[in-house]
Amino acid sequence: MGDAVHSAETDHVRRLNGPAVEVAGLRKVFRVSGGVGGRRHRDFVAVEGASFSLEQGHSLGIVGESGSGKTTIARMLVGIDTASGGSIRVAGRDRSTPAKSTSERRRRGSEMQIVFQDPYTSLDPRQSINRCINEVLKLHRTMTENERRQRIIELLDQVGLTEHQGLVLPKNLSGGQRQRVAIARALAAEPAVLVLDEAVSALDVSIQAQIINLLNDIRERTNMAYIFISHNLAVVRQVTDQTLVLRKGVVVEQGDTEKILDAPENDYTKLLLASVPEPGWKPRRVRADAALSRESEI
Amino acid sequence: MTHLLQIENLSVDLVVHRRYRKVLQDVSITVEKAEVVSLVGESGSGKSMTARSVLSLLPAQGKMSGGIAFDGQSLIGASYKEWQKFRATKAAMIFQDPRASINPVHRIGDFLTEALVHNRGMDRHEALERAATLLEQVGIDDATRRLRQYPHELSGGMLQRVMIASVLLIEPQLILADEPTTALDVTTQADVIAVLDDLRAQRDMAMLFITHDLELAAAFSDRIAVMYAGFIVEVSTPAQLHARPLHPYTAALLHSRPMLHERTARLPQISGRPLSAFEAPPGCPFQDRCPYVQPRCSESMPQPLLIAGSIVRCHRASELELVSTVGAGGGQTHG
Repeated sequence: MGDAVHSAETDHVRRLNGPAVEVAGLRKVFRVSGGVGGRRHRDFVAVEGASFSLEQGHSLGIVGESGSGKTTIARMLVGIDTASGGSIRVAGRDRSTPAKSTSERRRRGSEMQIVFQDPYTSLDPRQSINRCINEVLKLHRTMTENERRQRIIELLDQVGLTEHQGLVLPKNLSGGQRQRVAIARALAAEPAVLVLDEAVSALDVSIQAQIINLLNDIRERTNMAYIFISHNLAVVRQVTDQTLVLRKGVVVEQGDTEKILDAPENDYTKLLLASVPEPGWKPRRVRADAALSRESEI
Repeated sequence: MTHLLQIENLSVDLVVHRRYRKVLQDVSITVEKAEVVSLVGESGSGKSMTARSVLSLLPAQGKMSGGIAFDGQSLIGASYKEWQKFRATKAAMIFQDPRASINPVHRIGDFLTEALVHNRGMDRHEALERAATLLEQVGIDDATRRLRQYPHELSGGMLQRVMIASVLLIEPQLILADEPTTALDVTTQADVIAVLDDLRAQRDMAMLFITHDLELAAAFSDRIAVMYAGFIVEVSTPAQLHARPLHPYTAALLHSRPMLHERTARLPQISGRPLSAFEAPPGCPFQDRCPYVQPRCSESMPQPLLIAGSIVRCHRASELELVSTVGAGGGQTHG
């Protein structure tokens, strides 16, 4: 929480004049092999025509069930997958097509970082926490070794880890602590946008509350924009101000999180909300196949 | 009065890295006929191990002490054969991940009828017919076709229904369900829970339901037991638990849940992380994270106390006024 964070803050303000993320007509088609010997192909549309815009300092929730395409959107944003159609702009720069040079790829990395769901598989088991963060700093920031050392301590402190915990390997940390490391690693690049793909879903309730608070603190302090992907509507309520509901690759509803959760208009959003257990909840029994065919008419 | 299931002072030690480590400590709980009891807790709290102990499904070299009785008959010291018979007729388990617990190289029909044909000597055709009827009941259309399919051809929700059907087929008196819907989508979860609860109630089966989701537990159980570091720290009815939690851990857990209907400026958080039984300090395992800790908390684990119909293990249970939601009495638990 020293000067580095403040400089990061002004950095963001200087860097961005428009929205942090602009996505228009985003589409992803996967080719699925089938038939004898896998020679017959068919196209599977994972995302169809998603459009949204995210201002800096804001947080957008992407909700949906498995297979809805929410992770595919995240992967296209950070460049793990290439979009089949539509455009993506992050920090004012187009990234609809793969980066053509190393420096371009690196620049994209410094604009947007991602935190994955499973903190057990997203850290290198043989790399100490300090080295893990140092690597990102070396790649994305011009700093002397001393400055980097100082920055690592700050970053660890920012996510609630001690200097000592920087020396250990991931296996010596709990799931919640590892997720803090993944967040610190992402913050090290000082991105304009942070993509969180089910980042609190695998955590115990008491740890989940800690990480949610941490994320809200960081956003307030750095004015970073979040794309928060989750299937948990209660968590989305706490972390986001806009929400986009995906069903089978199609955006069925989008708008202010409060409006969507308090007064949903789409039948599928209503079904999602009605399925969340709460006091007095009585699960409705619907025939699996019937439920799906009924909803697909929406 | 005979309880359907009675667990008394159960302690379990397992071998981890060549050393015995405690996973359950002094666990006592009963399940009555047709009753649903939920075990709720965070990872490592011992909820799965409690259920596994009931079926004697502990990992190799596991040490168990205390009593487990089913319908008045002690299961401690039972032979392997007797355990097998117990698991085949009286109690059955639904696991979290159906894909990991249903043999992928056998057809659904073979999986479902195995128990009936081998243990009961039922005719294969008759068994298949019963399986088909039950698949219809758990909400799977076109049952005869499904019986010929392999597990990989079914979705996760569908496969969990098959799992439920397999348990119902042997008509046990007790179902142990270990996070049966955690791997499913919310809409599928709602449906699978509805199916499970309907069919269980129709057949008067009791259930020990394991979950980390307090809301889900509250929605359909008669009693909830909250576990922490291998101990049961509180047993209460869902209404009572939410209205007036007695253990500081229960209250903190209720506090720190994100709410669906309102945004909390800052979630009240419990500092530190949940402990496993072997890591817990002597005395109360929650002492390091408890805002109400006193010197006596590190001296001994309090014996279960009966307060207003609930059972609680806390030295200060009778004097504390805990609330379950923020705002209902100020955030009493802080990080």
